[in-house]
Amino acid sequence: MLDQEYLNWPIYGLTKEIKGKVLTARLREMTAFHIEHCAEYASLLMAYSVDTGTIVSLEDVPFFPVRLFKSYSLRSVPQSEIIKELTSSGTTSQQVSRIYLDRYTAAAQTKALVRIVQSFLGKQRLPMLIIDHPGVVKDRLSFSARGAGILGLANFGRDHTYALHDESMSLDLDGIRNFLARHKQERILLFGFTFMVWKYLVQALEQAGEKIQIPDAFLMHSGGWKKLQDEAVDNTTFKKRLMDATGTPSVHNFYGMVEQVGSVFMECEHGYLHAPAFADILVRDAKTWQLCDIEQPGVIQVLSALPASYPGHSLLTEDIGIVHGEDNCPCGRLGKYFSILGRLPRAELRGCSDTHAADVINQANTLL
Amino acid sequence: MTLPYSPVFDNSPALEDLIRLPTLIPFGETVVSFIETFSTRLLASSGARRFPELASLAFWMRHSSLARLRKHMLTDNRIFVARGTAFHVAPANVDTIFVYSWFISLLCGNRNIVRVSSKPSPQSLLIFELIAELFSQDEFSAIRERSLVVRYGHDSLVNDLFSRYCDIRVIWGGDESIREIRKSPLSATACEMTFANKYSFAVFDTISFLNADDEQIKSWADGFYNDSFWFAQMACSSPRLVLWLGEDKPHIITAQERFWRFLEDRLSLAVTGFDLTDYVNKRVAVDSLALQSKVSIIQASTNDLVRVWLDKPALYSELHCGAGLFFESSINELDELLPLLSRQIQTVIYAGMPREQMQNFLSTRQVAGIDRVVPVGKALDFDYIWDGYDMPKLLLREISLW
Repeated sequence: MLDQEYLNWPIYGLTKEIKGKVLTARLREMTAFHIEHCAEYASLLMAYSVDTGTIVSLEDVPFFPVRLFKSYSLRSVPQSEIIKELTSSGTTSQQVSRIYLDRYTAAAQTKALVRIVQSFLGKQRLPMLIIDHPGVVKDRLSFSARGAGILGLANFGRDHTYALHDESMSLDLDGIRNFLARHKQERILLFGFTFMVWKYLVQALEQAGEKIQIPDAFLMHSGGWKKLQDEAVDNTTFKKRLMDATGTPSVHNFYGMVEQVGSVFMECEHGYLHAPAFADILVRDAKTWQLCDIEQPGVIQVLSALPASYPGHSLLTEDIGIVHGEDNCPCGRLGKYFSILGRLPRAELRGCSDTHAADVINQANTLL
Repeated sequence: MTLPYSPVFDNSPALEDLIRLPTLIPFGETVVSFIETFSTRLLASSGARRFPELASLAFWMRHSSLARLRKHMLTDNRIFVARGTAFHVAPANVDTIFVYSWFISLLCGNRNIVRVSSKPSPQSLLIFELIAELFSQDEFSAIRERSLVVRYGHDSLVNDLFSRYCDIRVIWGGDESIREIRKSPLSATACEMTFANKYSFAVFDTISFLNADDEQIKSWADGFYNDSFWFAQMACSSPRLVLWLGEDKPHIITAQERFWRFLEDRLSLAVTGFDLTDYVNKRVAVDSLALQSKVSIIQASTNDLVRVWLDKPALYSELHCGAGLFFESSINELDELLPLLSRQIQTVIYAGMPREQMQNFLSTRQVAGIDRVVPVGKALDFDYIWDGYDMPKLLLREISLW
C-alpha cells in the first residue's frame, strides 16, 4: 500500500531540487502501483513501452488524458473498497467523469485540501458569506455540484450566510449588511463561483449604485473564466471592480478538477496559481509533447500524489496555461507558479458548454 | 417576403422561376464554356497556389477531362436528356465537393439547387467569388437562371420545399444529414444518390518497398502525404489504416522504416495546420484504443504523425478523428482483407503491386465493400464514378427509342 507521508511535506516549502526528488519518487511508485492494479492503465503504458525504471524526473511520468475518465470506469482497488463515486456534472445530457474513491484516497483528499486552505486562512473558522442563494443546498431536486461545492468549503467557515435571495439571484443587501454588522472587526471568508461573484455581486452592486465594505475579507472563488472571458473580463479587471464594489483586496482564485480533488492550485497575493508540495504542473507543447519554456503557453499536465484508488496521478488536461517560474514568486511560496489562459477550443466535437465549471465545483465533494 | 434560405449569389433566381425553365442540352456549348472559363480563372488565381485541392479541382475541369466525360455520358444512337432539377446537399468536411456535384449535373443540362455549408471556408469563398464574376457576364445568364446556391440552417421546411420540387436529390454525408434530409419526401418520380460516411485504407507490398530505390519510395511517400494530409485526413477517401502485404516480420519493419522516414521528410516541409485541439483529440483517440486493446504506439518527431500498430487489421472508425493518425497492421494475402470489408469501405490505395493483382482479387471474390481502388497519390482525385454510382448516368434520363 502507498503511504501518506507526502501530507507532511511543507505545503509551500519544498525547493525545486528536493521536490523533484521526493515527488518524482512518489509518482514513480504510483505509476508502478496503477500498472499493477489497473489492467486498462497497464495496457496503455504497455502501448507506449513505458518502463517505470526510467522515470527520473517529473516530466518522465507518463500522462493520461483526463477526458478518458468520461468513457472508462478506471480503478486500482477492488470494487468492494470503493466508498464514493465522484462525477463531474449533475446534468444527464453530457458524458461525465466517474472517479472512484476508496477510504484511503478520500481521506487524503480531505487532508490535502485542509492543509492548503489553512495555510492561507489559518486554523480558525471564519464567518462565511456565500455568494449564492440558500436554495442550491436546500432544494434536493436541484441539489447540484454547485451546492456540493459550497457545503464542502463550508467546513472552513461559520455563521454561513447567503448573499443572494433565491433563484432570482437578486442580492440580499440587508442580509449582507446584517451579517457584516454581526462580525465587525472580524476576518470574513467569502466564497463563490467566479461567474456568480462577477455577475450577481460585482455587477449587481454596480447596477444598483450600491457599495459594501468588507476590507478584511478573504475571497476564494473558482469555476473557470470562460464566461468572463466572453465578456472580456480578465483577472485584473475582476479584482479591480470587486475592490471598488466591496472594498475586498484579498481575492484568491483556485484551479482544480474532479479528477484530482484535494490538490488544488491556489492563487497567491500576486495573482499567480501555486503548486502545493504534493502536486505540480507541467506545460507541454502539443505538437511534440515536449515541455514548454517558462512563459510559453501550452497544454497543462497536472501531477498529484493523492489518487491511489484510480490512475489519476498524472493527467493531461484540456486547459491551456503558462508557467511563470519556480521557487521565486514574490509571495515567497516555493514551487511552480502559473496562470491558466483558457480551455482548448472546441475540445470535444459534441456540444460542450462549460462543464469545466462543474468539474471544479465538485472538488469539495470529498469534504461532505 | 423573406426567404427561409439565403442565396449565395446576387440575382439568384426565385425557386418558382427556376423550376419553370426548360433544361439545357447535355454538354451544351454555354455550359462547357462556363466550366472551362471557371477552370482557367481558378488555375490563375492565388487560391490555386495556396490550396492544392483547388488546383486539382481546376485540373479536373480542363478540356481533356471534359471530353472524356462527354464520351462516357453520351453514346451515339442513344437519347439522353437532363433529368430536371437536381438538389445537392454539400458536405461540411470537403470544401470542393459541391462544385463537382453541381458541375457534373450542369453538364447533364439540369437545373440545380445547391445547399452549401453555412460556415464557408476560405476555399469556398474563393470559388463563390469566381462564380459571381462569371454570373455577371450575360453569356452565362442561362446558367445563372438555373442555379440556386443557398445556405440555410437545420430547417426541415426548406428541406421539404427543395425535395418536393427536385427530380434527383444528391446528398453528401455524413450519415446524420442523410437521415435528416431523408425525412423530407421526394416526388414519386424523383430518385436519389446518397454518399454515406465511408472509410479508406492503403495496402503496400512489403517486398516492393524493400526493393524500391529511394526515389520510388519518396514518390510513394509524397503521394501518400497528399492522400492523407489534405482535408486533415477527414475526407472519406483519406487513408486511416496502412496494411503491409507480406509474411516476414523483419521485412515489414524495414519497409515501414523506409517509408515513414520519407513521409516524415515530406511532413517537415509542410504546414499541416493542426492545432492544440487536434493533437489532444488525437492523443485521446489513441489512448482510448490502447486502454482497451493490445497495440503499440509509435511517435514520430512531431505529433503531426502518430502511428499505432494493431495485431489485427481494423479501422476503429468511431475513434479516429484524423489529423495524421495511422493504424498499421500486416496481412499475408489480399484475402485477409475480406473480413474488413463492408459497404462503409470506400477507397483502397495501393502501392508496389500490379493493377492485375487487384483486378484478380476484386473479380474473383464477392467483396462486401470497396468503391474504388487507386494507386497511391490518387486517393482524393475526384471521379464521376463515385461510391459505386455512375453520377452522370443518374443525372441524365435515357429515352429508349425502339
